[in-house]
Amino acid sequence: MSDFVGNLATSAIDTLTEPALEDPIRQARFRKLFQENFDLPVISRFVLGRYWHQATEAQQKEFQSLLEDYIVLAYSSRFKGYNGETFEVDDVRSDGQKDTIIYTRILRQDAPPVRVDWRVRAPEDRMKVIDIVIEGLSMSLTHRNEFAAVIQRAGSGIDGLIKLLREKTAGVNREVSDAS
Amino acid sequence: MLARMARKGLFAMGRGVLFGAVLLLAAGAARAGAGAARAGTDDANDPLESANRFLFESNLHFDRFALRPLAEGYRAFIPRTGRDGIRRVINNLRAPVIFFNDVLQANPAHAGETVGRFLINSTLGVAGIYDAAAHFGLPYHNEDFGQTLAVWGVAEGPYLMVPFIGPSNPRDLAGLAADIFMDPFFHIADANNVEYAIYLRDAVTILDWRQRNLELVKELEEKSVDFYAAVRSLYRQRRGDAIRNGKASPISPTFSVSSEWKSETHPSEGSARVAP
Repeated sequence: MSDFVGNLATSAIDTLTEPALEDPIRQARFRKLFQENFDLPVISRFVLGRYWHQATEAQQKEFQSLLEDYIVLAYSSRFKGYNGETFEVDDVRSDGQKDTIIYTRILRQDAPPVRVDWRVRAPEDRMKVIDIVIEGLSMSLTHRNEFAAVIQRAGSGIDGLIKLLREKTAGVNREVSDAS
Repeated sequence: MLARMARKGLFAMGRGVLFGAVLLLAAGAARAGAGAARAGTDDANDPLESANRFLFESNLHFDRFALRPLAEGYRAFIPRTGRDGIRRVINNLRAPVIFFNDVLQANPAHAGETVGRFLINSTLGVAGIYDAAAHFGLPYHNEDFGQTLAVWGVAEGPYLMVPFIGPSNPRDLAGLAADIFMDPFFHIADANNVEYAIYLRDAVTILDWRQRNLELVKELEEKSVDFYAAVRSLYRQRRGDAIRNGKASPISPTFSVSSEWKSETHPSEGSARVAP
C-alpha cells in the first residue's frame, strides 16, 4: 500500500515538477498518472453526491469526462516549481471495509512538512486513489461542496454545472503522454 | 490627545464587536443541541448565504486593493529569513494563549510542550527569533479558544463571512474575543498605553499569512467554479482538522469525510443508493 503511494508520489515529483515544463506537456503527463492511479468513476460519484442519481446517464458520462479535464487543469499546475521534496510514510490504517488511508508527510526544505493522506480503494486487484487530504482538506469533499453550490444556483442544475465545467476546461490539453 | 481618544474609541469598538459575538454565541448555543447532530458535509450550514456572499465580495475588494498589494510589498521588502524570524517571534508571543487553551482542553502534554517552547525560545531562541525548541523535539502547535469551545461540545453555529476578518462562525468569533482577553501581552500593552504594538503584531500576522498564501489563493480563485463555496468548504474542513489536532477521529460534531466515503460504493459493486 505505502509502496503504491510512494511510487506514485515519486513519479509525480519526477515527471511534473520541472519548472521549465510547458503547461500542455505537464497536463498530458498529469493526465496519464491520474488515469492509471485514480478511480475516476468512484470520484465522480462522490463528487456529484446526491445529484449523481438525479443525473441522466448522458449527464453522468459527460460529467465524468469533464471532471477529469477539470482535475487535470486544477492540479497539474500545482506541481510547478516544487523542488527538493522528499516523502515519508507515517502510518497506514484501514478505514471501514473498503478503504485504506496512507498518512504521509511531504518534507520540504526550509518549510514545515505538509501532511498528505491518501485514501486508496482496491475493489478489483488494482489499487486506486479516490481522495487526497492535504492538511485536513479533502480535495473530493471540497469539489463536492463547490459543485453542489453551482447546481443549487437558480436556473443552473446539473446542466449548469456541466456548462460551467466545459467553459472552465476549454483550454486544457486532452492528450495523454508519459515523460519519455 | 484627540488621536489618542480616537484610538481608545476604536479599541473599545473592536471589543464591542467581539463581545457582540459572544452574545451571539450564547444565543446560538441555546439551540445548538439538535443542530450539531445534523451537521454533515452536504449541509453547507449557511442560512445567511446571500448576505455572506455580499460580504465575501466586499472582502475580495478589500483584498484586491489593500491586503494583497500590502502582502506583496511585505514579501518584496522583507527578505525570507527576516519574515521567518518575525513569524517565529510572533508565534512565541502567542505561547500564553496557546498554553491556556491547552489547559482548558485538558491536554497536559501539549501544555507542557508550550511551556517548554516558550522558555527555550525566549532564551536560547533570542526572544523567539530562532525556533530552538523544535530541535529539542518540541514542535510548534497552535490552539485558540474557538477550538477549545469545540472540544467542550459547543456547536459552531451558522457560517459567517465577517467584514475584514473573513470566514468564521459565532464559535470562532467568540474564541477570537476570548483569546484577546487571555493574552497577557494585550493587557501589558493596554496598561502601558502601547496598544499600537498589539495592532502592529496583528497586522504583521495577517500580512504574513496573506503573503504565504499569495499563490494558493490566486490558484484557487482562478480554478474554482464557485470561489465562495470553495472557501466555505475549506474553512470548515480546516477548522475541523485544527479541532481534532490533525487526527482522524472526530471529537467534535464537525463532520469527518470518512463516514461520507464509507457510505459510497464502487459502481461495479451494484447501484446502492446513497441517502441524501
